[in-house]
Amino acid sequence: MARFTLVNRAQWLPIAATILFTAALTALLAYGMQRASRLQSASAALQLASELGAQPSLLRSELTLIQRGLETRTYVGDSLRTVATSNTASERSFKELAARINEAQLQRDAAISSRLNSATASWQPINQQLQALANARSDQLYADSVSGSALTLRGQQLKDAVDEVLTAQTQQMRVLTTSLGELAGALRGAVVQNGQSLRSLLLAGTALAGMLLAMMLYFALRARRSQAAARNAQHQVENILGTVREGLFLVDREGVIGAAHSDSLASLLHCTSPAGQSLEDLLRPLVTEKTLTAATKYLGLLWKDRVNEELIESVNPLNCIEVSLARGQSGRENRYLSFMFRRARDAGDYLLVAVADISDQVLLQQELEQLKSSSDSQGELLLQLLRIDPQQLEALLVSANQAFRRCNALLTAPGKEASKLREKVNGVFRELHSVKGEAAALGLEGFASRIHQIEDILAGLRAQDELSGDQFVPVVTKLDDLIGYAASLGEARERVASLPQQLPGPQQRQTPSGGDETVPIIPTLPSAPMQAAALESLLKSLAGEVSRAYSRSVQLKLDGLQDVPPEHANRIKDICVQMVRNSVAHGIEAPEKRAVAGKPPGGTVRIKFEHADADNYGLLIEDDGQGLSYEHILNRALQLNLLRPTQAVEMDRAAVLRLIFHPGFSTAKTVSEHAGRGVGLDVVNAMVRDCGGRIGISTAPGQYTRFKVLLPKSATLQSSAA
Amino acid sequence: MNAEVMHRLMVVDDSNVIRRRIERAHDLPGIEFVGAARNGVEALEMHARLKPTLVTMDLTMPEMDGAECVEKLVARDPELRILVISALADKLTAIEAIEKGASGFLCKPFTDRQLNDALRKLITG
Amino acid sequence: MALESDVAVFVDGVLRYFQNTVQQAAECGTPYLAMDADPETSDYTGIIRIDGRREGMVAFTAPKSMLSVMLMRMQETDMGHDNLCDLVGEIANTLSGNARRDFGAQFNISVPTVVFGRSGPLQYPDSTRPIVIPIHWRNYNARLIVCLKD
Repeated sequence: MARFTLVNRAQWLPIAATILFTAALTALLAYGMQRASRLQSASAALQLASELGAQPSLLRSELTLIQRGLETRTYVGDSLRTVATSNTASERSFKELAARINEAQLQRDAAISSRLNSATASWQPINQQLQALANARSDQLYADSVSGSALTLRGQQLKDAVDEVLTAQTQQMRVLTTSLGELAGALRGAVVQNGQSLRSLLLAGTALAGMLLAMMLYFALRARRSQAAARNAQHQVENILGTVREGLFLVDREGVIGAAHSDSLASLLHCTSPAGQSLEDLLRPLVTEKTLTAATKYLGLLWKDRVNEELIESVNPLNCIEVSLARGQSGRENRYLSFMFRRARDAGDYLLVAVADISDQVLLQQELEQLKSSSDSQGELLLQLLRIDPQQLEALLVSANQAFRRCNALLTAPGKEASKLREKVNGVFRELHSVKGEAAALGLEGFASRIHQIEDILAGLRAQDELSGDQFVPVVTKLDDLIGYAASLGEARERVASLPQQLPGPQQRQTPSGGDETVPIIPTLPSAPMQAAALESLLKSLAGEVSRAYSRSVQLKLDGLQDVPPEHANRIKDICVQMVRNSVAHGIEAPEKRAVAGKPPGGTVRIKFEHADADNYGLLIEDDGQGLSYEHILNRALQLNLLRPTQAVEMDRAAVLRLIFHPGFSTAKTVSEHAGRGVGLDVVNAMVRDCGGRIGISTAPGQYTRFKVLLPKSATLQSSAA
Repeated sequence: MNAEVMHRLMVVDDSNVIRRRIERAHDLPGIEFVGAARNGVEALEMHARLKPTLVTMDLTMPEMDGAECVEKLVARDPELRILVISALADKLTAIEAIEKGASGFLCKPFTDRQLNDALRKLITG
Repeated sequence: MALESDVAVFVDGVLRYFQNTVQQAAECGTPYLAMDADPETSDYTGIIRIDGRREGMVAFTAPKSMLSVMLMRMQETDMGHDNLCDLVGEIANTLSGNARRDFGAQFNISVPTVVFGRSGPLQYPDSTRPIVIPIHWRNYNARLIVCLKD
């Protein structure tokens, strides 16, 4: 019987004691959390009081600015606005300050409440007078007369009011500053006191937890008599040290790593047995000399009693370091490690150190960076250029340069309002998009993808509700890069031109006579037929490229392009580039789909230029693709908030079709270089309207889409610089 | 609150604007501004006369740089608390300043509040 | 690091200077390139020169009136020539220090110099296009000019 109770007590005692301690610990922590939230409110109040304390002197300087402004009859609107905003902000801060003090349960503290009251009391009259000032309108202050500019009645009233505030309220302001200063002092005391009591609470908690731990250890030791339990416990400890991903270890005063450390440390620092080695030696092959110097000095600092914890943490030179580790036979791999140090000298003369591999976060960031700067070497450029017709390239470079200048002019123009910034985004987008079309058509991937990157940034800006000037920094640096790239293309082109002409390439062709002699085409000024030939080959290579990208089979039929007059040549080229790209990307269906619909697998895009009537040229672009879907266009427009559902109901079919000319409209699902950003038709529309032309659309679902562009013959070409 | 301990503050900075700004901006009770020096040499000379307990120190100055000046001042008075103020905020600079005896570090540009917070840490920490 | 993040470091530096030192935010306009002529400078210009991973210069140029009001917001009463030079130099100095922090050892950055008046043209590296970032504060306009070459 006696034996039975003994066993029973041995089982129940640890459980009861654990429950008791845990309950005590929980209660302590709950109380601690409540104190912590009060401390937070008190700190917030302190911050508010300090901020408010700076207000009187700022207000004074603004008032002095107004006073001087009125004396010299200059614009004081800015200062009036600043006074009004900082007045309302202060009023708000006062209310919040009182609320925070209540939250922190400090309202009963006589030192705090009396100072808050006296600060509020001296603020009220100032606030009222300032409110009266804030009603003054800056445009009704002066009247101009023969003898010069004079104060109006309102101006005089304002001046009197300002003078009065500055003289009469000086005393009040001083009182305000002092009581706010004292309030901040009292709050600071409360914060310190709260912090101290919180610290003692935490200490008590730590002590309790320590006792709990000691007790469990004691019971665990007793339980070790049971073999099975001991094996189990040991297994758990090993599990923990073996699976923890961070490297945990101790460092002694000499900087030597202690014997106990987590398994992952060796692989993190890439060494076989870190225990017993000095941390400095382990770091030496991994980091730069400067970082190593900093780290060594830093370890020294950690042992100094004088230096405080927070300061020490803020200057840790190893909180993100790049290390280069050997991997495999000859390869090296760069990793990013973060070290954290804790002084734990009470528990023996050691520093506790944790290392983590933070490469994933850092690399992710860098990947984004790298994606943006893919560059093609000069050699590749030369090879590309050998395949391109020099005249087409020259034309591209000229129009690109003009577009760049227009972009820069847009950016240079003043205007920081949201609407102005939005116009800049759209304008730069339009300018660059045309250039991208031409560059892609010539197969200049590097050129086109650089513009594509800028468009990505602009598309990101377009999607934002708020815009600010600094968001344009990447746009302007990328534009700079693009200009440099275009210049290097120009230089490379000159080198190509100076190459001996025996190289095989498109600049040469067999003579029709069938002889084996080759005749280089000598670059001449583009005559009309030459220009037409250049345009035709440009469009054909573009159609080929886009159909490859979209896995389409497309035949391009061109008619009448030799009749294009020089004043419209550039415009027609730009329109055709956009339209061909749109037709292939949006119009022509995949071969399988065409087969199902009973159409031939290859689609046809037809472009015809003609004299439409006495006053107009006509440009017809037609494809035998899927046609435009009214339903899709409407859905898309609703998604983009281009119109309201009620408007959609009332729209006729022609109005629905016209929506596709809206900036930012696109029905393609993914964004690629060739289409799908919906800017193409927007550009076409703008170009046509600029010269007084018109565009008509007709379409039949499943059968065709036809665009008919009319361009005036006696073109008043005010803006046809491109 | 704590008993009123008087701290005597000396500012060392080659910029006139910054010297005057620190002089005006500090608003902690118990800190009294006693003087401002334009470089390290002047700071050593003024330290002997003014016996400050707190110093704010710019790092890049003509004549004698801030780090050297920190070292010399602390050698004279180990109790002296020095706040190093600099825009050269790389970590080695900060570590070296602390190693030479600085008790705090503040980056430019700073607000009045940041300055006061840093000064408070200097006298309480 | 790409040019855009280098430029952003300087833009942030200037905006932070206004926020922290005169306690009133400044706004920046859309940056642009000075393609044909060197950018105009204002009454006072603080310049730092850079070499290392990139070379070039960064300048902050502002009209006298703007700097005076800034001093006033800093509770300064002496708006003389020396203090104006001092302020614009201090801004350049702070930009240089911040850059050193963000770029580390990749750059060597000079002690700032201050130029007074619109007379002296700034020295830009050859074949570069300076990036101009307009800075608006109250109704004043200053400019940050960044010109870096790989």
